[in-house]
Amino acid sequence: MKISVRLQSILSKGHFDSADIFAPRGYTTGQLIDLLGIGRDRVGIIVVNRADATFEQALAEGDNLTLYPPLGGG
Amino acid sequence: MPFGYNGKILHVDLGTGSWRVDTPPEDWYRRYMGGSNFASYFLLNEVTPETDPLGPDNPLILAGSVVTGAPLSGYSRYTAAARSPLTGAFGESEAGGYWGPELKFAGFDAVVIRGRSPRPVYLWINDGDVEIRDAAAHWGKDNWQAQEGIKAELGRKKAKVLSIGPAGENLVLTANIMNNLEHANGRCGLGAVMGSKNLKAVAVEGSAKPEYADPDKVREIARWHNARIKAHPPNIILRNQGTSYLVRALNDAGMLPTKNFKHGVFSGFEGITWDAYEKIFHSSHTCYACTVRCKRRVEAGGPYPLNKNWGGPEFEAIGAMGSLTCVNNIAAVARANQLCNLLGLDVIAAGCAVAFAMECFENAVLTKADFDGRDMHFGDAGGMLWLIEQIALRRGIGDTLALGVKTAAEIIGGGAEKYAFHIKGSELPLHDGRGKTGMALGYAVSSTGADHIETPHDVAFAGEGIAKLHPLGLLEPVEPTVTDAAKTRFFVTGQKAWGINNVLGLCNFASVPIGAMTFEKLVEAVRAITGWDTSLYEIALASERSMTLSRMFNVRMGFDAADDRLIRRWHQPMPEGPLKGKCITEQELAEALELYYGMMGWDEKGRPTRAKLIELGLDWLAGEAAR
Repeated sequence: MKISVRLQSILSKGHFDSADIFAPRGYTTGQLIDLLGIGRDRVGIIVVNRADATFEQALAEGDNLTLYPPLGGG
Repeated sequence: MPFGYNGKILHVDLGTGSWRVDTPPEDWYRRYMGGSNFASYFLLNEVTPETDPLGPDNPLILAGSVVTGAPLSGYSRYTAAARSPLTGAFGESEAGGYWGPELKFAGFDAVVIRGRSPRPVYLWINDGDVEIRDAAAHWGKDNWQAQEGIKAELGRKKAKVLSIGPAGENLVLTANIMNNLEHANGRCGLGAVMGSKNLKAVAVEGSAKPEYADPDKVREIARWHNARIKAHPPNIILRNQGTSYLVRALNDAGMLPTKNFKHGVFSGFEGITWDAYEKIFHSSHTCYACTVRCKRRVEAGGPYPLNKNWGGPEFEAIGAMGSLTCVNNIAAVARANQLCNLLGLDVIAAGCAVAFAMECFENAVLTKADFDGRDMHFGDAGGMLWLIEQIALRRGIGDTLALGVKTAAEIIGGGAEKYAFHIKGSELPLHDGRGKTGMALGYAVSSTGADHIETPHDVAFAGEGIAKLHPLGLLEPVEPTVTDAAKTRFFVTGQKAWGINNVLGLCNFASVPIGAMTFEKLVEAVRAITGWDTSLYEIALASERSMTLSRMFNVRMGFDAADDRLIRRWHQPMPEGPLKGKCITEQELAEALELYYGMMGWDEKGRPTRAKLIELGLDWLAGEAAR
């Protein structure tokens, strides 16, 4: 299935800003993050189709996935 | 009986040794809701420009909210407030832990403390009873000894005690108020206000939890929230690493304040990340009813001994006493943090003072003679620990640094002001405005001076933004490092979202938008707790009141738009790293401030207008407003 992935801020370093990723059906956001080699501990916020998501959320064909580093708070 | 709160405010006069209990009407509670707004209300009712922040007429307010103590993650925070002796402006600082809920269970929604006791005392509030007790045995003791001593004296192991250490007693203007040794009302020098009243501590214990309008609904939301916290990425990181995760994340992004705010990248960062922290990690801990568990306890022997009861450093402490001073040893940073907790010093201000002294030393503005014959180079952990103690005990150069970096620089002279970084006289939390320009705008306009808790952090603005802000109408993305009209629009609304947390006493790490909560569920929770048919609109209005009220306080104290400024280093290009070349120009800041004032209903000098005050139901202040 095709997932449009955008990596925000420092996450794009060494990877890409945006890309279409073809992942096995049934993949979760967490599995896709692992596949991309980003490291779950580098991810602060996961947004799927403009809604908050978790590492466990299953992805579907055509989903838009955006990942942010954890830069908020203090 | 109201739901969720007591309907009782305790007023104590330490000068006469008397107290009274007020019962404000429901409308008062609904208009102000809690925390920051309760504080502003009392301060604006009695503080004038002539009020000495360390005099008996400066009231100290300790306030929860209508929802504090509800059995939900992140509902534990309370506000401490007074006119700040550090800045002369509005002084407010929140702390989590267990004290805020316990005050509620002891029968009061807030305590207002006036006057000055002729001798050291502490307050004991127990199930509606109030006692002013002699504190001679506890005066001069550090926070750990004092809190344990007071609990033993009362025979109440479960009492919750907030106290000041030697720094507060010595009227150090950056002294904090600690509850346990893990939770601090850190900012604005409120510990010195307590010290000026001869008030060592406030102990509370209560057995009467308030009733909730719909207890089943409260429990249902708690279950939903806690399940979501388990799966929510920001909360997973907080549970695993505490706030220390920010060291690597901010350094990677080129915005970890380093070497007194000059750099955004710290070459020694690996010595203060979670990987290093794990070696001194003892256990994780939490605040009342909270499943986020971001608190750390530390333990170690060796050159930097650490006690598991004295708190582990959170990000602000690690940044202030790590990267800002170029100390790359987490055990030394943790030791400095524990010293601050014991002595009662704000970790942010302490780290900023040390970094200021180090830069003065490296530029020959201060010399070995100022430091009892020792060097004070960046990176000197031993020097930092020594200096922290000097400040708290007001010895030697510490007596000058105890006044905050702004006043210290004026006293030291010789160009020291070039290295003294503050906004409105308040030292800066550890976030670089060149990487978070919206947060920089927040630093500039905050009534308390630089403040990272009432301000949106810019990651929320990028890409698609945090989806949870959509209910506020924040739909379009804006770039983190850009300062323009779109960023200002985003900031104005975002500030109201963050402000909700300071009014209701909620923790950013559990609430909206960083934590697992959503606005929809937050409103449901307030409705279920209080029984009010409230809405996000009404709660956001209360949040806007808090910005306008604290601004009105500062207007009365003589502050205006000229005080809404940034540090000069953020107007200069970032020297290296991913943000190399980034800065906020003075022109960009001026344009953003003009827009911000307009959007807030303030005039060009940053003064709330009569129309805005009346719109917010603050007619009682309209006479003081700009036309």
